[in-house]
Amino acid sequence: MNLEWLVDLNKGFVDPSAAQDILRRFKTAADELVDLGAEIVIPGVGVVAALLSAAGTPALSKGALTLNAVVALLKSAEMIVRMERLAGHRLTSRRASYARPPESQLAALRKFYGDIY
Amino acid sequence: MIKLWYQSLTRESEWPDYNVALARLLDQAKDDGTQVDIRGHQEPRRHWRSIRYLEFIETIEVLDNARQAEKEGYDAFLIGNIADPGLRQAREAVTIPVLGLCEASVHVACQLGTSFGVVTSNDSIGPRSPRTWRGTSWIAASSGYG
Repeated sequence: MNLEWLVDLNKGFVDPSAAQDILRRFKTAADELVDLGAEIVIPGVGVVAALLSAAGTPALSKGALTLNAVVALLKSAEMIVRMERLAGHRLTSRRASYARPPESQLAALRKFYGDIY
Repeated sequence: MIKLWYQSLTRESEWPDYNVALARLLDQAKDDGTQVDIRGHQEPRRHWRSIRYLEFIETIEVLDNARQAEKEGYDAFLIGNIADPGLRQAREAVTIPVLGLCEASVHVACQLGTSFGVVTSNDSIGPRSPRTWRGTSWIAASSGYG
């Protein structure tokens, strides 16, 4: 496929032959990954994940499994929201990587950057 | 009640059938009591293969929408694209949880097998693949469609 024009994938939802072509290409690529050692294969395009759900996920070689990335994203979000409610506070770490600017600096930052944070 | 903002990197008018299928998939998969609102790009974007420059431009809208989701009382902001555009910036910028398609699916995959692979839309994704999957020793390989 090696898509240059991603919107062509939309045809897979209205044209059964286009859907089968996308699924065939997915299976070919996925089986190549299985041969390289993959036990789980992630469809790295949200559109393809939705198409697999709509048109049917092809069985992969050697019993490897396909993980629907959209479902994984949704269920992960539900889990984290519930974990926050159990904890009674936010769970995103603010210690280092996701530290926000000090409150004392926000006014100055907004003066230069506009309505941020 | 859990209220989720699903940020699609497509424009609904250009991907009408995909957006219907995506809504159906999310509706089938969500828990009772979860509300998922799909929001696409407002600009005619995401037609082409991933290009870093264009992705950078598109990410501004993702960040704006993350802040909008927070203001509107959403419980989490979900980025539905394998490049996770704006994931780390958005996670810093807002107080609600921010999750990305790639990071979330890779973490789930690591709990289900000892190696995984990613089928991408084209071969440009693999070499520039997010740290998300390069950062784990469990990646077997990534490959564009044939």
